[in-house]
Amino acid sequence: MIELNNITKIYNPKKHNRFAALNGVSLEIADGEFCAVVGKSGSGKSTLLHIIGMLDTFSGGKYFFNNQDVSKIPENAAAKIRAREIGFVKQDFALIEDYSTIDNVMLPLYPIKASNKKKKAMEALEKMNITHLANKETKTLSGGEKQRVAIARAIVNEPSIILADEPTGALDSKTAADIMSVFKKLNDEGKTVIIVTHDLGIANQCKRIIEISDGEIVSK
Amino acid sequence: MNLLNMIFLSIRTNRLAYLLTIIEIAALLLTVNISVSTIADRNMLDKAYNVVLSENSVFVWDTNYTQNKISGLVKTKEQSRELILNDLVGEYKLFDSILFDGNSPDDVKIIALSDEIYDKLALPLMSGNYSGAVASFGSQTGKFSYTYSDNEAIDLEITGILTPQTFLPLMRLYSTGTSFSIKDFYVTSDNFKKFILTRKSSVIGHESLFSIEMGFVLQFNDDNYSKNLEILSTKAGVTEGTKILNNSQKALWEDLKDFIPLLVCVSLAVIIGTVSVSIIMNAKCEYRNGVLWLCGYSRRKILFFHFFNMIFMFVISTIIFVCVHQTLCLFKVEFFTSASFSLENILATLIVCAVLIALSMIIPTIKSRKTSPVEYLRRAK
Repeated sequence: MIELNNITKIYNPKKHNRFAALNGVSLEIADGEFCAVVGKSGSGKSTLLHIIGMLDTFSGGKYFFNNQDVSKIPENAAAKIRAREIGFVKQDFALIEDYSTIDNVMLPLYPIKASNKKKKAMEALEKMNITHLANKETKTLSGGEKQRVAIARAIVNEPSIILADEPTGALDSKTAADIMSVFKKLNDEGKTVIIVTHDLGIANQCKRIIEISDGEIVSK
Repeated sequence: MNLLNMIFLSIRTNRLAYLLTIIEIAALLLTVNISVSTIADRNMLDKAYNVVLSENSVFVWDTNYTQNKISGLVKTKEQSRELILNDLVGEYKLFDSILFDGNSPDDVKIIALSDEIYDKLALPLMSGNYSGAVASFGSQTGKFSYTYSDNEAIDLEITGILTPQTFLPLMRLYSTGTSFSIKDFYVTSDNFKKFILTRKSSVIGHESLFSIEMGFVLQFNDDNYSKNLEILSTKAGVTEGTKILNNSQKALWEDLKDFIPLLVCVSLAVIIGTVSVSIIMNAKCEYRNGVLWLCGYSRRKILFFHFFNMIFMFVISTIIFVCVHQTLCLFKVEFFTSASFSLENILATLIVCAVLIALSMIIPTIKSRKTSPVEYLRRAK
């Protein structure tokens, strides 16, 4: 359960180029929801996603993640929550290209000291139907394959939430459709999926659309 | 990702940077060790003689030996010494060294020092201790019997092996001046291929085989010091102990001064190089650090990878430094054999490594505090 109350995010608060990316955002996302966050470029979508995923801090307001006040969680504990509970998928895949596929997928398993890392990684690759790519270097993969690897990495710890920032932005329409079907399948398994996109076609495939403009929620 | 995998991958992608940094650090470690050894060598020179060159001591050498020998007044060095000592008043203590040269150039030389001087030795040992005799040939230890003629032998116990290129205490004068320093009482071990250094008390009964060295130290009481100094001045070359110690400080500092520019230049170059490489490598790893942040690694853990990376480089540098040093010693390259592995060298190495690692972690640490790792993902790869 994600609960945001009056969240603000100000970049460079003490400098002349002070910028308020989020302006009093309040939002509730229940477990198992399939949401899209839409808005123009610079509206604060990615900032919102980063705050939800505890990748970034917020300047004001309250954020409760599974009834825990996030502002009171120390950084190391927040990192472990990220590893265990949250999976991220980025537009540019966010893979370490010099590593093999399986090494990339195993990354979130180390901070939580998971056992049988390789087995879990292979299971995640199997879910994405890319076990044959396990030992290949990520830089040799196509865009669609890379995004599948990124999703495999995002789900390897069986998180309850998947956050995707423009996951189909760098893909062709057929591959984008494949990836969206993967997200739908993950949501059907009970995971909360939040996708940030500026593509209304993608947004309409989600069950709920949250519209954001100039750092404020326009519709929920 | 486990640490070693990450380091090996980092090496693969930054081969040149790693290589250059490792060589730089190895060069600095070698320079530091040579400097520390040089300082230690110089410092230990006066340890042995400090106990004897006190306020009431003088160093004496026979300036008339050749003349007296020609004129027939004396036949041996021992007689010449008796001539110098016979008018002295009151009690005195004599400190000197005696040398057994062997019958041929390849024979072992036995250098026996007055017990007080031997007991204060701090010469670098490759192994063992000073409790018996220290040797400088092979690795022989334990009881040693040296046969110097048919059926005649001297028994010693070898308890230590000297490091090559050591300064040996021996009152063998090469200087004809009077402003002696401690350096005048030492020769390098290169002058003797095989030798044993021991106490005079170990050679009792065999003194007749040994020849005395040309100089010796006399120690008097407060009462008879001035009178005996006057007497000695008329018969031999004399210089006061305190003057020798003062001269020694100046002479030893002159030696050390030569190393300082080298040490400063190399240190500066390596500090700048290592810190720069650390900053560049950290910058190159920004995107990777952003991905790790995404996958649940904390800032502390991400910094730790960088720290471990630096430690790994220093360990490799130290291994290279030790291997290169040993190889150069094998070929007896003089400049390099003065670096040894005493406690001071090990401490100096650890301090240098700790300071360099700390310096190279400053900027990455400040950066990680000021910038959210998610920023790295926003920037271009």
